Amino acid sequence: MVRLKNRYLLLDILYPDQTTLPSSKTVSTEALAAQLAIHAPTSNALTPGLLAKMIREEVGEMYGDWGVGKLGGASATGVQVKYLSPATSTAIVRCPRASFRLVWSALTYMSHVPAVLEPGAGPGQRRPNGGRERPCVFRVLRVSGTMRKAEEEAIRRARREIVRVRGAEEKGVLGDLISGAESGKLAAPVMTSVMDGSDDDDMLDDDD
Amino acid sequence: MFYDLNVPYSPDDPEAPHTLNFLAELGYTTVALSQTLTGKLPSSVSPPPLPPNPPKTLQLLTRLNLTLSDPAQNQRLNNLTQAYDIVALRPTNEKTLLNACTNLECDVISLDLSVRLPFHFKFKMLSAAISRGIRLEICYGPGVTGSGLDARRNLIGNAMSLIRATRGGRGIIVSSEARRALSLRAPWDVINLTCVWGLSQERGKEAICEEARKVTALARLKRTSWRGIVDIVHGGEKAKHEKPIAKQKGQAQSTASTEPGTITDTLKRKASLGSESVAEEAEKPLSKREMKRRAKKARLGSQGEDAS
Repeated sequence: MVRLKNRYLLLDILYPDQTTLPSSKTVSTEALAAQLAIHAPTSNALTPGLLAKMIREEVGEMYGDWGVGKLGGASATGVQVKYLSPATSTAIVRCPRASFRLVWSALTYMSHVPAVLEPGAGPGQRRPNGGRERPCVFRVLRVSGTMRKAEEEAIRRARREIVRVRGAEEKGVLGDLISGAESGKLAAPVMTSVMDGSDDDDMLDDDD
Repeated sequence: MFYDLNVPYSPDDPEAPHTLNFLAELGYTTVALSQTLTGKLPSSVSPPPLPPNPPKTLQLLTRLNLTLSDPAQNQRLNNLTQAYDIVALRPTNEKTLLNACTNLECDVISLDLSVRLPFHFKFKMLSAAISRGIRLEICYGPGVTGSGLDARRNLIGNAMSLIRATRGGRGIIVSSEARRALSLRAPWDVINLTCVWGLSQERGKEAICEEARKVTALARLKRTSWRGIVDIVHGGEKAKHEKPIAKQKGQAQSTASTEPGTITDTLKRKASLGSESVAEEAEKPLSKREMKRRAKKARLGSQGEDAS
């Protein structure tokens, strides 16, 4: 049996620049505010098709015809956005196994997504190159041979983030009552175990 | 355990806490805040004050980037190493690079790879530096965003030739040199980038974890210990009570009097912070050698006065 082998990249979009959040909610602590700003939601103007197009263009810019050819020809059918959630700024991208590093490095070199449109602006500006772009950083969280593993990882991470924010919020509301018992445990290990062993496990086992 | 050993920093930068927050979010654990000096050194150099409340997961170090353009420059590197946690040299031509690799006392050699360098890297030169415990640094920041096409192309080309010259990337560390939070990248993204440049994945990971850790550990060892060999890890609180007794014994036995002599001897070669209190104690009992030396000095001084 011949089968086409793929890689699934789980990525999220981070916003390091301090911009006003779309829903400006008052948050208690400074660290929490920074964390929420970094994980801000993405604009709805970023559709799966647009993200795939951006990746193809970036690969074309970085690697030229050779790179686009490795992704499956002129239309670059090898790159597909399987899942995109603007609310959590998470996406899963499928690419050929032979050229996943090309796609990954192209993602590393990308630095803009469409800006959040103001409610009054209307749907006129759909194309991102209309001068309204938002600086961002693409971070690849996991490289996996199957989509199921990528999905599980996405869920695990989302859950972890919620726990982190919840822990911080409870500390802010209740003061020192529970902070000594819980928050110290919750806040620290979340970051230390983020990238550990995330790649190598699934690098080798394909879904066959 | 990811390290970013080059984050440009000045205390009046409003974005600094922001950048640190983002670094912590990306998963870095140790960050060196760097200050860059060019040309002639001012009389007294000290690191800028650290930002007031950094993220808890981040360990901050201070670092000095010194641009070298003239081989005859910078005789006072030893003073600088005491003030900063890491001292990096940035040679701009082949002569200074050779000088930095073979002679100068530093921790990291950080070339500006985003411009066209007028020379080739030679394995002999670079391996001399690596065998002395000095690491070579690739800064990915200028190539990722904002500095234009030429910077990116030069960075890739220079990084590849640096990897080739070190035979597969031995002794290379990777750091950001990101002036804004936007040109920072997550550690695994950086490792992938180095893979594309020609490093293997293991070496790429070492470049951002192990090798960078070695730089900080070696730098600390150089500063606190005696010649990088002996370091006082635990002072031993009990020993303090026993000290006066030991000293009396030492005065009784003449052989023990050589001990303070050796300590003053080491002090001459390397000023170390930890042993200064010991030096004051060593002043009290004079060894025979020291007395002879003082007598000789006094004699010479009087002769000099007679001659004049």
